[in-house]
Amino acid sequence: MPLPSGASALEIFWVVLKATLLSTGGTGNLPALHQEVVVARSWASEGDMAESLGLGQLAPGPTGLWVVCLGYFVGGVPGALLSAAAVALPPFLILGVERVYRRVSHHPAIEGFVQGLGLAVIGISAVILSRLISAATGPLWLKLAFAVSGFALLASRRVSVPIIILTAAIAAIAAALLRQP
Amino acid sequence: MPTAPPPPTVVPSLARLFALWFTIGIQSFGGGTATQELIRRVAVDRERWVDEAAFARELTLVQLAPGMNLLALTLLLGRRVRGVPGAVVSLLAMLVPAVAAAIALAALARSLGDNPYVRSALSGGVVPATVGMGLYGSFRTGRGLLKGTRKGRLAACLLIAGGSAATAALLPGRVPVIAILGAGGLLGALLGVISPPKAPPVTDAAVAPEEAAV
Repeated sequence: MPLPSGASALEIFWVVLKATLLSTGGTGNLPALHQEVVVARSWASEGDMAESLGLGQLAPGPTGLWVVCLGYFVGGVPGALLSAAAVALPPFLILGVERVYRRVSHHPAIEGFVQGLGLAVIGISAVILSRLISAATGPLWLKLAFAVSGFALLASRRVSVPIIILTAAIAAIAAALLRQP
Repeated sequence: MPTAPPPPTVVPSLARLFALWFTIGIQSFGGGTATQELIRRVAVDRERWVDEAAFARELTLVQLAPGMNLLALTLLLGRRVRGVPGAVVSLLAMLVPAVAAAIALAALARSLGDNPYVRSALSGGVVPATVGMGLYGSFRTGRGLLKGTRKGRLAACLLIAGGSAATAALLPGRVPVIAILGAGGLLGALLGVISPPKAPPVTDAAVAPEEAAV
């Protein structure tokens, strides 16, 4: 089945699986997916990636399922389902290695590796996220205002994520209406 | 029963397990911490599959698993109560509604994509707000990773994060991401061998309450 982006179903599955196997956490695969899907293969735009992250926050369930939205943009429903399978499989490894993990999880080298890997993911993700701002539409000051508000509201722990997203959506529509002559 | 830890008071049927995780799956709006709290309420408070300390240990353990930590947590808890079939049923029950909702949202966004209001809302509002929230998420994850780290090591840790960011920013696409991540991990491991990352081994109980506080 030819997919709109030119990607084959198997390729989508493999790219997502690889990125997820080599990372931890719901957005740990963001750097690798950005490079493979947006930069190297041009299956999706930075805008698609940014929208997936936003929709993933809005959908119920773990936010790591943003990859399902990205899969949909790359390959429709088959792409979405394959991406879902590709993010669901790697966690199964824990069942096989639970005992080993329990023994090594406090080993200094392992703790150090997890820490170093996590910090590298954070460093790269911060760069990619900041770059996604330019994929958004509207005047820069307004985009920055939305970003700062999103950060601050989440940090305040008083407002839930879906409320923040819906408020941003409504405010953006209002701002667009005001900008019209 | 695959594992020795205290068995739950009543072993739930697979159907009940499915129903419990399905409910978690459809209720969990707002990402990781919110979902984690929902799971804690079911697994610790209501069903008593594990006690608070064991739950905190599982939370630490799943940080090591590839992919979404919460899925690994779901699998571990599912296996604890009903073996491997329990693990699979729990995971499916949590994922199916969430994946369906994600696909529906993506399809809706695409089909309404030409509508100028929807475009403004998504691209002008949701995207930048998500970037801000994502940066906060990174900040929090980083704080969690660095918790209890010795002062001398802290500088090295910040260098790993800063170096990765600089490589990604200054040489976009020229250095494979996997190489940056691998370098970060290996540097961290090396540092760990030279000087243990955490001063006193962080007790699981000390990590958990803060994480579950939201």
